[in-house]
Amino acid sequence: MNGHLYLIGSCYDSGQTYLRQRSFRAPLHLSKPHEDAGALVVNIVNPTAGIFDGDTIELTAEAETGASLVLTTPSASRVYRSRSGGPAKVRQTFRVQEGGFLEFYPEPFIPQAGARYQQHTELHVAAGGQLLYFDWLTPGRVASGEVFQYAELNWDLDVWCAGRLAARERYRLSPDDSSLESLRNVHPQGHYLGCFILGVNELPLEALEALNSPQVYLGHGPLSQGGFAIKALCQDSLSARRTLQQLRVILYQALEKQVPSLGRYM
Amino acid sequence: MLPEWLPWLLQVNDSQFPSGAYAHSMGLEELVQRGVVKKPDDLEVFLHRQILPGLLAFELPFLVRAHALAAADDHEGLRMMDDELDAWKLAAELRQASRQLGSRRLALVQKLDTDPSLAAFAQSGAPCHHLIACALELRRLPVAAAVCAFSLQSISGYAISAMKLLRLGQERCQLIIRGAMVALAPQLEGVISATPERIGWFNPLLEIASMRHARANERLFIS
Repeated sequence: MNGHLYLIGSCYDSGQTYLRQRSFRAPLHLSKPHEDAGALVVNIVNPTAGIFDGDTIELTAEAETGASLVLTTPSASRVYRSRSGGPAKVRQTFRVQEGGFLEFYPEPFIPQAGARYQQHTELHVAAGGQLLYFDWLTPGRVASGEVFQYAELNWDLDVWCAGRLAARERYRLSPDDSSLESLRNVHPQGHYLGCFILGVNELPLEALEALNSPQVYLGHGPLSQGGFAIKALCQDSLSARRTLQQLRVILYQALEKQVPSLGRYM
Repeated sequence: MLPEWLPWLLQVNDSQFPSGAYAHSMGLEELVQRGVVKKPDDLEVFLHRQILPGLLAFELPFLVRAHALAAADDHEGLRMMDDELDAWKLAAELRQASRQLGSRRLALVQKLDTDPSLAAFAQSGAPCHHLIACALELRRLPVAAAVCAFSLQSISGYAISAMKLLRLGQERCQLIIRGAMVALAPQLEGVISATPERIGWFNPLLEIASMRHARANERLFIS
């Protein structure tokens, strides 16, 4: 399938966010957005079973000046075994204009045994904009005995702050080499959390440090061009979810914003 | 016949060359405190499973490109790569360590090599990452020598700092360095002849360790 989602969040004079432009095509769909804590919460739905090899999905979302947009997914994203030997490809771009805010908070990403997947992510934040981006990479279908059995994940990410490259990551994860070593070293079935928070000058360090525990190994630090990176290796899905929930609350405090409800049981 | 660049390589790659590398563990100190690396065998596994693949997938292909630019006196291109390294190094402490090592190395190399372009680069406000400084310092050497020298610096940096963190003697340390270099050497030719378009390596453990080291209550090393 060749799907896409294009969204532009804009702002009425009243300060209310609305979708000025939206376009989507299967396998992506939007549920009815709702407003909470001053933000427009948009659930991105994939009504199919998941992502298959050969699928190409492009997701582009932008928060214009004054808009406050929260993008989330109601359920985990699964990538299935590649039958053709080729990958599924997802390209996602998130942009925030000056005075805008955008959060991307997806449910876990579950690459199943034999999955091949390429993801390219770009984050662009103008000076005076704020962006909160989360990633949650699971080891696979652990309950079915599939732990890090995906064939290949290519994970690319570029972060641009005020037009300058602030972070770049290029991962190729495969059981064929030692690329999974650092994921499995602390917790054999480790879940990886990645987060970027852009448009804040400081983080509540004590609160972040308190997230560390025998189940969670978390670090954080400033990027070269502003903003912060946070990474964590968690023992299992429960500790990963708990960490993300707490992290989200802490980071919203740093942004001096109320935490919008995602409209589902978490 | 003795290659004319050999005495230069031996001098700048000597462990006594005052680049300040002895003060950095590059995240290893936190991994030892965390219990990930507890004994010499663990260090060996860490080097072979995490550091060597990172060199092959990221640093060395990056160095090959930087070396070509340095050899061609393309300082504009080199500056772009230097700035890009700031973005690649997510952990602030690793980023800062790389800049400190590079700046210090380049400052001394300027005194040994009076080529004014070196001073011009150092004074341009460039981050001067260690890898870029090595590319400049070794620009007149064959790229194979530069790649080999940089690999040895990286591996021995971890191994020598480990002597202060583990029960690890000089002899075992040298054996570990030798083992890592022997494992790496056959793959260097491939890195040089076919630099991949897409480079990078996944090591969140080392990144988190470095991020945590920055706030450690007690530590021996700067990084």
